[in-house]
Order: sequence, then C-alpha cells, then structure tokens
Amino acid sequence: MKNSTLIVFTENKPGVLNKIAILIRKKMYNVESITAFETETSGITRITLNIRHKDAEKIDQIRKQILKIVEVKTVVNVTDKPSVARELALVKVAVGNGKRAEVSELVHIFRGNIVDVSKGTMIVEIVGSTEKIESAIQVLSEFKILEIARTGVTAMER
Amino acid sequence: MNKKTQRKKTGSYILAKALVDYGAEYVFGYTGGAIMPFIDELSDVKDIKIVKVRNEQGAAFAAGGYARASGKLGFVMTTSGPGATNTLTGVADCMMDSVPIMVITGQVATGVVGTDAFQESDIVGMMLCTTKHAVQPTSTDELAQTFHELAEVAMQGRVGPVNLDVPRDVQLGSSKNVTYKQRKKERYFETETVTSEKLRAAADMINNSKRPVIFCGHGILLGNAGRQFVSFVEKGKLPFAYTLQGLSGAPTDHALSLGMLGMHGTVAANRAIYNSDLIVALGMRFDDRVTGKLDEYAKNARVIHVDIDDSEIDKNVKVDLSFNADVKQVLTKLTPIVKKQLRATWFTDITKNKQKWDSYITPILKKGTGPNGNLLIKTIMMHLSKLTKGRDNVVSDVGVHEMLVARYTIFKRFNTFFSSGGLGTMGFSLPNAIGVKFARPKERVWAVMGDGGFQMNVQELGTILEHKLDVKIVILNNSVLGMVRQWQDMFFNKRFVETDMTNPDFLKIAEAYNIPGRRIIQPSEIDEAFHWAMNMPGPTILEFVCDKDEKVFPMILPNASFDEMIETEESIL
Repeated sequence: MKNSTLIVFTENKPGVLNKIAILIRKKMYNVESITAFETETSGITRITLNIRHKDAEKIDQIRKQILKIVEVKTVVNVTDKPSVARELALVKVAVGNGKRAEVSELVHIFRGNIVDVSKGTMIVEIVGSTEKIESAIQVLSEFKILEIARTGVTAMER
Repeated sequence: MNKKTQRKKTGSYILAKALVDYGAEYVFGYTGGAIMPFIDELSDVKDIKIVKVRNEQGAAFAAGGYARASGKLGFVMTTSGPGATNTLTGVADCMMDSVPIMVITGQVATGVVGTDAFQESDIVGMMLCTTKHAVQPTSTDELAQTFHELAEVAMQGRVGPVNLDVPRDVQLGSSKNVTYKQRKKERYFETETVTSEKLRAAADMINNSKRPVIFCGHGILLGNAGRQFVSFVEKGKLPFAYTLQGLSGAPTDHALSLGMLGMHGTVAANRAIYNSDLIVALGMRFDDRVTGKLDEYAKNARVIHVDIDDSEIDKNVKVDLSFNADVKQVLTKLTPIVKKQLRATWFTDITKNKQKWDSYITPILKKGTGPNGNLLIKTIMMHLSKLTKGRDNVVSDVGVHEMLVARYTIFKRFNTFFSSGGLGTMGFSLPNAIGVKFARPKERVWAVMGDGGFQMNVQELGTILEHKLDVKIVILNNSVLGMVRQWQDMFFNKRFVETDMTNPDFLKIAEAYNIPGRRIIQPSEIDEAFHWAMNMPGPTILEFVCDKDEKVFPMILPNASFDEMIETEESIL
C-alpha cells in the first residue's frame, strides 16, 4: 500500500467537486484527504487529493479517470517529484494546573502556535509535513487530547 | 421574420433554434408539465420531427438506436421528475456502450428547485453518475452556450450521453444570448500525436509475430474505420475476431474472420487468442466478458492497444505498446508498413479448429429443433441470414438469443448489428429498432428479442403504430429467461428459480396494435414466414416457438482461463 498525492486543476464551476466525489465512490478510491481552493489564476481551482492505493499502476489509472472529467484541465502526481507538502492541524488538549508551561515548550519545539487558552484546555496549531504533524500529535498525547482537526495535505512542485 | 423583432428570445426558442442549427432531425420524447413551454415551441419547427414514445425509457433507447445507426447525436426530450428518471436505464446503457445522446429534461422552476416540488427530482445528481456531463443552466442567458458545450462533450473523444436539465422558468424567460458563437473550437479531450517511431515499432511487432490475432472492437464502428480495418487485415494476412460490439465492423464471413471472441465466442477465436503471441486490440476495452480470468488472459502474447480513451489503456490488461488515438488514423498509417506473412502453421491450426466446429454444428443447425422438439434460435438466424443475404439490420435484445444472434447471423454490411453490450439491458431491442429505422428509413430493420425482453418495453408497439414504422419484429419465445436458466442448469443444480415465464398470446397483442403476426412451430415453416414478413409493406411480428433448453456454447466462465473453455454441452455431460 502506498499514499500518493495528486494535484487536480479544474475550472471553478459548480459541481466539479461533486463529480470527483462521484468518481471516488464509484471506483472505491481510498481518499484520505481533499483540499480545494482557487489558484493564482482566476477561475481555476486547485484540488489536492491524498490517496491510499495498492500499487504504482493503479494511481496512473486514477489520474486518467480524473482527467476524463470535463472541467479538469490537468492532473499532476507530485508524490515522487521534488515537492513541498504541508498540512495544518488544530489540537485541543486538556491542560491541568501548572502544565501550561510544559505544553508551551513542546509547541515551541514543533514551531507551532497556541491559538487558544481557556480554563483547563489549550488549542495548539501546528503546520508542517504529515510526519511532523503526526509526531507532534503523538507527543501531545501525553496530555489528554480532546479534539483534532486536520486539513489534509496541500502540495506544490519545487 | 418581423422587422420589429424583439432582440430578446425565450429560452424555448433559443433551445429549439440550437437544435435546428445543430441539424437535429428527430427528438424522441414525451411531454409533461415542466417541458411544455419547450415542446410547444418545438412543435412549430418543420425540420424536426417529435417522436412521441410510450415510456421515456423507450425514448432514451430510440435516441440511442438512432445514434448507433447514424453516428449522429441522438436527442431525447422529457418532463421533470418521473419523466427524467425513466430515461436513466437507457442513459446508463449509452454510457456503457459509448453511444452519444443528449437528454433534455424539463425541470421545476429555479425558485422551487430543492423544495421537493411537484415532479421534482435531482436528475442532474443522478445523471452525473452515468453521463459524460450533466448541467442545469439556471438562467436563460446561459442556455445557448450550455447546449453547445454539452453537444461538443457528447461527440468529442469517446462519444457518450449528456444531460441538459432546463428549469421551466429558463424555458419561459428571455435573453439576448440567442445563439452561441465561439471563436475557436473548444477541445474537451486530448489524444496523442502518433509518431512514425511508434508506428514502426508496431509494424515490427506485427511483421515478426508468428501467431497474431487482431481484435475488431466497437471503435472500428464508432471511428467509421471499416474499410481501413479490412485493408489492414488483408495487407498483413492477419486473422481477426470481433468483440460483441465490434460485430459487423467487417463482413462476418470474411476469410480471415475467426468470429466472435470472449465468453461465448467461437472455438477458433478463443483458441487462437489463448495460443497467440501478439494481440492488436482496436477500439475495445478488454471487458470481463471478453477476457475471463485476467491473470491467465493471453499469457504468452504481447499486446498493442489502440483506443481513443486513455483510461482504458492499461486498465484491465497491461499493454506493450499503445496508441491513445483514433483507430482510423492509426490504421491508415500502419497498413502501408505492414507486410504480408503466410504464417502457414498458424492458419492450419485455425482452419482445423473451424472445421472441427463446423462438422459438429452443421447437423444440429440442419435439424433445427432442440431437446424438447422446439425450434433452435441458431437455425432461425441462419435462415434469416440466407434470405436477407446478410444485408439487413439486426437489433438484438439481451440473453441467450443475443449470443446466438451474434454467433449465427451473417453481417455483410458495415454497422448493421445493434445490441446492448456493456449494460446488457433487456427491453433494448424494440425501442432501439425504432431509432435505427428512423436513421435508415429505406433499409429493413429486424428487432429480434426474447419473450422476456419483448415485455420489458412492449408499450413501444404504440410508437410503431403511431408513426407507422416498418419494423420487422421477431420474438424468439422459449417461455423462459434463457441465459439465467442456462446458469441455473449448470451451476445451481437445475433449480429454475423465477426463470419460467407465464406469457400472454403475443399475436393477440400484435393484433391490438394493428400489426399482423404469425406463429412458427416447425423448421419447415421458417423460410415462408420470413418471406411473408419481408413482403409485407408495414410492421410484422413473427413469433417462433423456441426450445427452452437451447444453450449457448462455447462458454468461458468469468473466472476461468481460455483453456478451460467449455466447447459443447456434450463435453460437460
């Protein structure tokens, strides 16, 4: 099994995300995350898909199927290309008396930010590669993790 | 035209004009509340005939038949809600078999979309799953452009169905955007530029092969490449086989033809594929009915695959050389550099297999009756071929009869066999034959179906009645659902669950629709019955009483390899 990241450039028209979702369901692709937003070019949307699949051949078939969608302009598989991949995670931790400093130190090590503090909880924001996010979450799980919200991966070729 | 013409036109006018400018001749459909404004406008257009059917499924199939026979975009028009949803089966059929139709559905007004209004359904949502594209323009201003884009998407690349969902207020509203003019042609699908290096590589593979088989797929028909295909195989002296949808891409009695390949293909074709060292697959997609067990499929063969749809290349079968291009273009450039090889041993093997089968089947065909003493479908189709000299159009329904029609009918003319391949939809034949007849009014069209399939869209006899269509209907009545029965016989311990049909008197139904009919029981009556039907000026029904135990062989089971082909019924007894 392997994870691949596909960047799909589409026309910004209603229903495109719907079509991609239909393809995912019909072909039973295992999509771990989707992010989407308009690009630097007006009218073009960039959709980043992180897909888990069996082997190298299947991902090319997925790329070709997505390309058949009328509004799709190009599909780039950046997995094995020199690229930058980032995601953002918000983690709400239960922080007991006197533990705030400890959390703050860990967050600093991961170059993250504390974006909310309340009685008994803190919300930590971490940006980075998937590996970094996952190790940060693991470290933070020393404290009780109440909630995690992850955006999924966005990527760009170098 | 009135000099004081308003510069704005209604949506209904814009849509009707779009159809006229496109060159549409027929719109197959059914009226209803949400489409009334448009159909009212369309009824004044002299160049377009509205063909009212009896169920919107029939409209989708008729438009499909028209498209299959003419190569042009077929048009369907229905109202919202149930009218639209009734077309879905026909649309799914067109999607699977790459048939271009545009389904224009009326829709409730934009102001009430999403409120579960009367006869509202999210048809675009449903169509998105089974079309190349589906759009609901929300203003009259967008209508002309949307029509144009949908027509282009339907007809470019691998052709297929599209849906235009038009809300009632968009039909009634007005706009200055009466026609859509574009400065340059929009390309929705790309294919590759075929290089001479690649062609050289392909030619070398072909010229050096000792046991080649060429596949004549649906793409030969869709790409109008019949002549190029025949030139190609004759130039290289290359034996070829058809997929079900490729049948009639070349004359089926051609000396180099091995017949149909696949699950119910001929012994000669399947044996050749099993033993081949090179397959040249033209416009086909290695469907599971064609390959059987994929791991075992043509193990020792290299594969050259030509297809206009890139996603079909390397989808099921890993290929050695591919051309994501139009078959006609590739064959035109390939034929000059292909050399004729005698391949004597290969042809000796092939001929041996053909002769062995011929000597087995000839006495059976001659006898013409099965285990229960009733008629054999294969014999009936053999007689039809002789009398029509293999020159007529045959529209087949789905089931055992379909396989036997495919195997035992001779097709000498290009693109004269029509059947539901990918979706395998019963009820296909009658409404598709209607569309084929509109596309080819001067040719004879045979709608061949079983008793099950006939009843799935029997209401379309009303369409034949209304439009006085000379469609020759053949009902092969064995009073069972033959294909399922065959599987129950072979794999379910002869437990014939729900495959016996309690049928009415079909000739009485025919009579109610003013269609003369005859029932045929003995082999000796077959020719006379066909002569009678052929000489009648209008539609006829011939009901043949067929044997419920006529099975179709050879058979390769879905998870079997080609060397596990069951050749005859006797071999499993």
